Amino acid sequence: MKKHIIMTIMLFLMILIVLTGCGKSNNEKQKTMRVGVVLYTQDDAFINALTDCLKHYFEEMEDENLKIIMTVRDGKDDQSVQDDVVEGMIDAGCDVLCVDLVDRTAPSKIIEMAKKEDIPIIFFNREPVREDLMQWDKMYYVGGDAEQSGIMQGEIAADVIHADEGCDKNGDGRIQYVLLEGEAGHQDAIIRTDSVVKTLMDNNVKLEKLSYQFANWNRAQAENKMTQLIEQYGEEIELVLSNNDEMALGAVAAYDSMGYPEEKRPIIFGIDGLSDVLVAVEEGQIQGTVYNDKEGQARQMAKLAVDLYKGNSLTGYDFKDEKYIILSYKKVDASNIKEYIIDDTGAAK
Amino acid sequence: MKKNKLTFLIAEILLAAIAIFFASRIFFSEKPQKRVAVIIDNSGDEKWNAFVNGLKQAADTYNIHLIICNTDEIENGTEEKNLINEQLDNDIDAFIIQAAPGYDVHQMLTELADQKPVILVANDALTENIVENIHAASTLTKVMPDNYKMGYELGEEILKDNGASLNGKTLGIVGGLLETDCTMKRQQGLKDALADSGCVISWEINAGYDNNVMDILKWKAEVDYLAVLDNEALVQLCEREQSIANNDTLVYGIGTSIKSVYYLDEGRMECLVMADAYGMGYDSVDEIAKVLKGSVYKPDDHVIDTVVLRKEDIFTEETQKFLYTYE
Repeated sequence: MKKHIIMTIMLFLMILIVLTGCGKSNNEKQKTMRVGVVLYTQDDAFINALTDCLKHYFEEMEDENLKIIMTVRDGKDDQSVQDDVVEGMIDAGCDVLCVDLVDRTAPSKIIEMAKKEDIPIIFFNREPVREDLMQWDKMYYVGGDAEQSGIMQGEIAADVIHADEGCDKNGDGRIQYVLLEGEAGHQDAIIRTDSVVKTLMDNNVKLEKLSYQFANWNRAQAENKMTQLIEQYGEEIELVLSNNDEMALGAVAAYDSMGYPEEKRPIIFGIDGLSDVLVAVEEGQIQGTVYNDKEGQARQMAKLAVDLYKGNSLTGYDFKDEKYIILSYKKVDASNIKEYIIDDTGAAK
Repeated sequence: MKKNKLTFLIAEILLAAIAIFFASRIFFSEKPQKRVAVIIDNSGDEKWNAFVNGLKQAADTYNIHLIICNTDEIENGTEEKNLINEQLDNDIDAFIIQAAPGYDVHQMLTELADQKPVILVANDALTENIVENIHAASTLTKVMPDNYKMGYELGEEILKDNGASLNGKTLGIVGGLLETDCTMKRQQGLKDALADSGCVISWEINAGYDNNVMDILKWKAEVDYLAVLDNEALVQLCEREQSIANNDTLVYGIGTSIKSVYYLDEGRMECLVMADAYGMGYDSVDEIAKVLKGSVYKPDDHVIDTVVLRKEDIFTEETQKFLYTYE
């Protein structure tokens, strides 16, 4: 009888060992982290470049214990579409959401859905209203400071104008300018516009505004709008201030297609530091841009997403108000363009 | 008096029976939605826009709960199997799958098809038989275009532009992912169409998840014609059109996105062959809905229509109707 009991206990222990062994091997399996990246549109060159960087940093953070699947979806410039996209992503299984809102004032549905499933959200590029961001402790914002970009654009433009009297083509002591603005009512567009104009005036540049046009951050729209402006004002335009690089490229394209010789063109300034604009700065078609640190933003987003997924401490982050990671812009003009142009080997020229 | 009471009682009973009948219809006729998982590579990519539109439309019609899995690159059968296993744990009733590259995928999907209904889209599971016969296909149910025909049509278009003779002309081929059924069939279709044309195939390369086609193309000899059989490679190439603008290379492509149509309109390619991706999405759900409805239903293969587009065709009513599904 005793023998039977001992045998039974041994058998039980063996089964227990086998079972716990299996459990351990399961734990050792590679974990998969799913990141849902939802853009406001897939037609924004800066956002696409930032998304490529994000993908790159997530790939760098993979190891034998962690596989990261990053899925990018398009909000199609429509908040209700973006809400549906987020709903579908959560339904299919998602660990962290990175959202570039279509409408920065309307994140409620996304927040509600994510909160219900306990999925952290990293907003980027378009900053949600502060009260919304403070609703839940698992929401963050990574981006640049719109005011700083406008100030820097103004400073570069002022330097160029002071350095070259020829910018004032008609010699009236004033710079006649046009503005290419992002979207009507868009926070970044308003802040960039206000701060660039104020900075120019603070730097003793006398300005005369000829006109402004909204081109929705888009190159083709900017080309159309700029063509209209050129037809209306011709050589009166001495300065083009654009809320982003895509629209600055649109302005260049408008002058190109109208066959304007270089000496008759105004000085043009953008914001973002897109590779095409860096080339244009090097070639003298655009006089300056403000580099929006997409690499830095993507690196912070990737790191934060992984830490949130793993439940790591977030003490190493330079948070502002425990929610915001704000990266600095950098000025780019002819004097430092070589630091930003990357050659075929991936190194700065 | 008694008769009146009896009539009243019978009427009451009848009314109660009718009420119970309708109540039961309301409460018991609502069947739970069937859950269908869709596994395609880079599921958020715009190349799937029309396909997803078709899926969603049919899912609404057939009351199917669609789960479009969050994916990026699916490089091999192991990765695809992991995605499938996750969805099996997610109470999925059926699958719509784009077969991953590799010869081992067929076996894995066949085993899955023994457990749950499976429809393959866009790319068939590769079988060893293809080495002997390019038209060989898997035994799984397929809803996809005839990829061989798409390659063949592209070849015919190059011929058409040259009076059926390409004597002394050179061609470069940019294929899709290696070890995929659709890539092999498109390449073979193209070669068969040009077999007696006198055209010299100077080189062939394949797009991959980890390589940038433009980087490879830089080192390739200039050719008269470039046949691009993969949407991503085609878009990449047209985006960087300036790098091929130095020569007179004419581009012919197979595309599945509105961006490729945009580049056709821009004149960055001569001709574009497209599949009815909306139809592929709609028909795949339609077929799976029938399978889920009745156990005796045997699913059918569907061959999806293809269209050949030239720049001048883009704004015709018929083409616009077709392209509407890509928005």
